[in-house]
Amino acid sequence: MNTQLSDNELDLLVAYALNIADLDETVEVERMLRQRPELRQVLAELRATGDALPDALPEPVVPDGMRQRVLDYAVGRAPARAAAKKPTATPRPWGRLFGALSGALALAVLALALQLGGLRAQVAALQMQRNAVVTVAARANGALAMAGTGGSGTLLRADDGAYMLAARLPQLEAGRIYQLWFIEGQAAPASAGTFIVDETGYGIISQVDARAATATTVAVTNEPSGGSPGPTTPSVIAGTK
Amino acid sequence: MTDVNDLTQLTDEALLQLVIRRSERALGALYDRYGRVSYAIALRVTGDRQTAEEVVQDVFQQIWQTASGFRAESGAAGTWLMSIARHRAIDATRSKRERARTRESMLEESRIDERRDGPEAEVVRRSTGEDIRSALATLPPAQRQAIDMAYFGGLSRPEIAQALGEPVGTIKARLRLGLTKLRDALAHYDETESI
Repeated sequence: MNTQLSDNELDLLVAYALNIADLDETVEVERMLRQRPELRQVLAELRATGDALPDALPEPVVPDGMRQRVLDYAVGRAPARAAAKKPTATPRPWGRLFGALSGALALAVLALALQLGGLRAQVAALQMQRNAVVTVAARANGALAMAGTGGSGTLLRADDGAYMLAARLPQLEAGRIYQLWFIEGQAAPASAGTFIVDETGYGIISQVDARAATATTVAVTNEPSGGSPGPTTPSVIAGTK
Repeated sequence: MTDVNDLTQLTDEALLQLVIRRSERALGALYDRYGRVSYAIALRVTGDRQTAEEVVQDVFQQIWQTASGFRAESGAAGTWLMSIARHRAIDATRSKRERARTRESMLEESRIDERRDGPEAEVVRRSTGEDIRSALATLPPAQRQAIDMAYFGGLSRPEIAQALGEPVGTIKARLRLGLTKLRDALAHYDETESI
């Protein structure tokens, strides 16, 4: 596609394609599309790219009997909601631990909402983090403890590369951010994302990265905002398999 | 010759036509195609199995009730179904009626656009999960994180910026670079496949 677009125009199309544009931006994109019909092609490609993302999700364990419950509800045979059965996998000690942690985190989300009132974005982000805890904990095949002079943390990881790090670390200075690294054997550290900590010092990062499943060492460093190509400071916390 | 009793041979659009005529078997066939991925989306967004199942129930109830509103010529029924799942899941998480109305309105818009631009959408849609995981793996983690928070979290760019402690401009750049790289990578996989 050779359509010439400024970064700002492309930003707007990306936001529109992901359905996160605000009202003014939506109006602006629709004006752009009217004036430059060729942009519809770009928009369609971006939207289709976003719509392909669910295909990257790991296969879920579907609750027993869900098909029938869904179809009964859909056609009006079951007006009341039927409770989904809990997963039948054998509970693991750390699974229970993180179940409790996620419950505590949910309470923390509620408390934060009450305390901070209008800061909906932070609540939404914490809710995503809680969801990540639950989702990864359900599939994780191991936990890696991380420790250091600066704090502590635990990395949960699954065979498909899904991982979640929960850490308690010192508050960051302005312009700094925590960065997670995966290291396999003697290979160079590979960045696995950046995160910040909340007012109580807790931070969570959850993503899918195939290197998570094979990394032998995991470390967190304090880096300039935006992250670094490689660690520029000693690790704050680290753990080895 | 296609066995009329073998619904697995029918296109999504043909199944929707049967759903309009109140065929529960056709709805079941659509569930067999999209129920699992709908549940995966809902579980990823809500993080709760019961809520995820309720989202899937809502998705298929909506299909049952509004299939006639879908234009078969769009050729993007699967995309439409998964858009419903994503929006329902995000709305279930955030419970904001106003946002729900906005999304429904935007969903209608997207259907119009997909009708115009369906072939391009289908080009990317044919990519396999492995292609998409491979393409995602080529993105810097910060770009993947921003896309994830936008797509599955339904967070706006200012909301993502606030959650990550980054400037909004940085988040805009991450989303722009990430999604366009992903688009280009998927196009590459598609070209490779056709060689």
